[in-house]
Amino acid sequence: MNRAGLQVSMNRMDFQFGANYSYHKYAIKPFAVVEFGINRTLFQNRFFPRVSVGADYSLVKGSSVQFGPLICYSYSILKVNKSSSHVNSYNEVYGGLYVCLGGKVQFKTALLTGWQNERYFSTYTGKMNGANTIGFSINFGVNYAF
Amino acid sequence: MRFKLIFLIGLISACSKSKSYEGIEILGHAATGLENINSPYHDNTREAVEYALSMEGCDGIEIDVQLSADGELWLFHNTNLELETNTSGCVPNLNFSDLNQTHYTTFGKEKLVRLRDLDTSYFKGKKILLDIRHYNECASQFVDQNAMISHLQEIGFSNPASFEVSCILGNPNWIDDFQNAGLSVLYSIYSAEEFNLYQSNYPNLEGFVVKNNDFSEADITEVKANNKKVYIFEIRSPKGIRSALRKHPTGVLTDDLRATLIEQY
Repeated sequence: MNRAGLQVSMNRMDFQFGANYSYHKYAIKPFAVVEFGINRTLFQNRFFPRVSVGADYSLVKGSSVQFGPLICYSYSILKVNKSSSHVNSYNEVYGGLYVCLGGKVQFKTALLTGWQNERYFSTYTGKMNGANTIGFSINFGVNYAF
Repeated sequence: MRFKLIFLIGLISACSKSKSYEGIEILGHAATGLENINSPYHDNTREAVEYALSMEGCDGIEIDVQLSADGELWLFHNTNLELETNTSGCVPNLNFSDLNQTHYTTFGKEKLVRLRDLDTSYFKGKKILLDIRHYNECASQFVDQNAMISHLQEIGFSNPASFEVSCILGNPNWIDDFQNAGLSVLYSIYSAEEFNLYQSNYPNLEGFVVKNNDFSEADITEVKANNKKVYIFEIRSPKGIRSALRKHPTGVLTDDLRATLIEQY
């Protein structure tokens, strides 16, 4: 079974909106998400795309309720200064828990936290630098089984 | 089809930003922004200062400084330490031995830092605004301004060669002493009426620091027409950032440095 749907999420950098896809043949269900940052893209006219891949594992697998852990890797890029040739990039590796409710139409929410790294050009060192911190993501989505 | 295309082009044109923000200085409030969730570092820390000043397009920072009991200036915004750090009390009541062990209760456990310990090579060509805290709330008394001035002179912040320093004051009784010591002074005001008062009483002020919601574009224009600098603070959202930039101040002290740089560039 496959599932596809839409989701909104919030992380340190922005609110995100996008589409998700997951493959439901085994206990471990891989997924992929493509999103964009709402504030940067819609309210600041600066495209802020984000792609994520990960996998869920169902500890509780009822017909209408599913619950378990998930892991996720996300990558996003943002051009802060258009007069520069450099682009900021963000790597996020998160783990967390999810809950799914519903059957063919399913609502999913997930809480994730983990490592976030920002790569940015430093005018001081004259090269790309990294900044690490704890990140988080709160996701809400709806998807359809087909 | 043709009308749809024209409508789409019109919509895109309407969404494109004006490029009229050039020349406005972009400074990070408390370095990378006060309580800024998208900053990797806590405000007013060495890490935040170096991160902000190395960003492409950042013209400088505002940092909050408080005088400790043994006469050192430390970067810290709030009154009490216990809400955000592993130490309790107020900076003006503590000494180096206490404050040097103090760190924020964040993931990075960034330490409190003295102004003298910041790496000033990051400051080269930048504007540094020092928000001088004049009141010790724990002891309910004013801080000794002469000790503050002496310390700024001792650590080379009164007339640095490679960067520009201004002191933000909120106590009118301190203005003359700071100016007599050769320090540039910006004064915090909350209304256009206050501008007229301080402009006439203290004609040598470098300028003013104002809240975005308190001053209109006309107020800002009036301040600048009197050859005074004006910096706007309390801006965070894209809408707030744009509203501040449209007033064409000398600079903005932004709580979201990255979002403000996107607006300008």
